[in-house]
Amino acid sequence: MNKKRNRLEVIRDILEVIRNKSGRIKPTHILYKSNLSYQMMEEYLSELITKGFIREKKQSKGKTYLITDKGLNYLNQYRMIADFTSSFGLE
Amino acid sequence: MTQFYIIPHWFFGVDIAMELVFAIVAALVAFFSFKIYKISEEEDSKFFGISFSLISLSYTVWATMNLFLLSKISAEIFEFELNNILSITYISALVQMGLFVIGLVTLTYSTLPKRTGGTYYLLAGLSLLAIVSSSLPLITFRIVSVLLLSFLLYHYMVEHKSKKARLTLVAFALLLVSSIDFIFTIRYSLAYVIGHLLELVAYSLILTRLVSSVKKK
Repeated sequence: MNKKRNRLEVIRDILEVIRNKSGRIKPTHILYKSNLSYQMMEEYLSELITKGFIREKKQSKGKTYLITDKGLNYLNQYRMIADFTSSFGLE
Repeated sequence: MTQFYIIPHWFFGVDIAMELVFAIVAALVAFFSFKIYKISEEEDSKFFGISFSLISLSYTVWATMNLFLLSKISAEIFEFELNNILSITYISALVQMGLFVIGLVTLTYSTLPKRTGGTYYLLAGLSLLAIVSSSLPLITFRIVSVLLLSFLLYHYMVEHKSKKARLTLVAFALLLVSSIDFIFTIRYSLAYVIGHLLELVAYSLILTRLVSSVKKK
């Protein structure tokens, strides 16, 4: 059985889902792929927008989410972030 | 009443070098904490960085104060100078203690489940007030440090059970033991040496953990 994911892992998973969809994705896909409840997903997406990791784009067919350079940098540096935070009890 | 650490004469100089090493290690931890904060925007990393910056500054002040004393010991001191030297040393010691305690308070604050500005100012204010108003500031400083480090150690034991966090846990345990040991330095000179050695091991462990977590993979 998989252990419970921590915050940083959930953020990584959401960003990876968006990146793997060519950097643009609908919220229903995020919900399906990130294995979160709707409420949790909304909270995380709101946090990621505030941090500048993703951008929300409203269209006639609904909204989509795009990953930013800052979000991509987070994914590239994720290993170091995860190692540092777990080493010093910051996760 | 002002107290001073009793330092073995053969250790004078060695302690300064060790304090500078502690300052450098703490500064490195702070640097990488801020780097992680810049990438992840996680507040815990920011508080960790602020905390270790203050601890680093504290060791820098301590080393500078000891260097100043070392230079005065080797020079001829006139009576009128002695009061100035004691005043400078006393103020520097208060600054050093204040920076270290605020560093620990910041670290403690970052572990709290609910954070409000009021909690931080209350913790910091009470800790500083206890030291400044005490007739035995050195002992009070160490007791406040012991209390804060005990809380941090308990937090690490309960909340962070990963293998990677174990070295940090041991490092905090050693810093706690060294703080207890430093209480006895106003009477026993050897306690000053033991305290520094314990801190050296603690900061070596922190550096080891830091290097392995930030090296390129």
